[in-house]
Amino acid sequence: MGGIDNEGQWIIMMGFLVSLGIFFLAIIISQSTLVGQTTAEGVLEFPKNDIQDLRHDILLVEKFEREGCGCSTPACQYGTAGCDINMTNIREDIKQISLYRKSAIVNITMPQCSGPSNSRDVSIHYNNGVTVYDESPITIYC
Amino acid sequence: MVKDGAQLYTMEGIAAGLIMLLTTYLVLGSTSVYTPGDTHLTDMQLEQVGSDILKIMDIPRNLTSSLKPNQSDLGLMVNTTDQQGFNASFLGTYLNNPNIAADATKSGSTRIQIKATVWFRNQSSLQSYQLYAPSGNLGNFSAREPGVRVTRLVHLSGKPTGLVDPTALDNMNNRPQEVLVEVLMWEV
Repeated sequence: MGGIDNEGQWIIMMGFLVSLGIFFLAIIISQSTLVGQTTAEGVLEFPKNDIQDLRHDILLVEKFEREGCGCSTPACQYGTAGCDINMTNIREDIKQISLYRKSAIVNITMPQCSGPSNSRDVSIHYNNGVTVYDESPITIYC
Repeated sequence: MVKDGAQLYTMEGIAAGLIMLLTTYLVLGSTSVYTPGDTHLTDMQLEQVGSDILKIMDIPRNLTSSLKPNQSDLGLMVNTTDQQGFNASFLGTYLNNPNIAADATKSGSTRIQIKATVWFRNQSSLQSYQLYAPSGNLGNFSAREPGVRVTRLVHLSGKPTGLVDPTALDNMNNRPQEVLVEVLMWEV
């Protein structure tokens, strides 16, 4: 560098550093919108309404069917005409509808009423590939 | 006296390091490019409002009603295929505030349109029929927001009645069953 005056390099260098700083800030700002968007997407994709509806419907219909059957004792649970206390058809309806219209695998177990307290443990499983929801047992006193 | 001639080289080193880091960051980040079309942001508020409306319509009626106590407004409308009742209830009673609706009608807009479909299971497959479809103005096809879909499971005690085309229910089992009421909502 012999006789060359290199004082001007400071100015160039500082300008360069400041521009780099601004560039980084711009990247952070551009990322922030993306973060907001992915967060909102996460909220949207969570099937809150589907799960609430599923749970509400199963438990409500279980009550209708059980009371509609007039079955308060274990002895009258099966074979009564027009009585579907285990909800075989209804559970299959819900499974198929969830699979084809919601792309979700749903499994509901509805065992017989038994035991000293004449109760049964209903369980609900829901999986749409992203969200998994399991609820069991929901103890219902028949 | 301390010499400060080396400061320039230190700064240069830092700058070089930053450039290398920046390059690595950009190269690694370039594998995924986000564009607005990738994000599928639907109208979240509309979806929530629609779900809430269906939820309200599915609340069982008053126990002293002459109807079956376990029947909700929504269940009754599906049972009897009450098309206009469904539309009046969903849009008129719940979605549109009367004042806003009046203003919107004045300016020739009906704001939100809905189309309702009922899905049911027969022996082996899923089938559907139309519960309600808008008759007139569907809106501008080229310049509208994507629609949202809200659903509700409804309990029926048998086949619904009152369909314009009852053959749609030929394959439906006449038994207590669950059907899915699916409402497509879009803004006009």
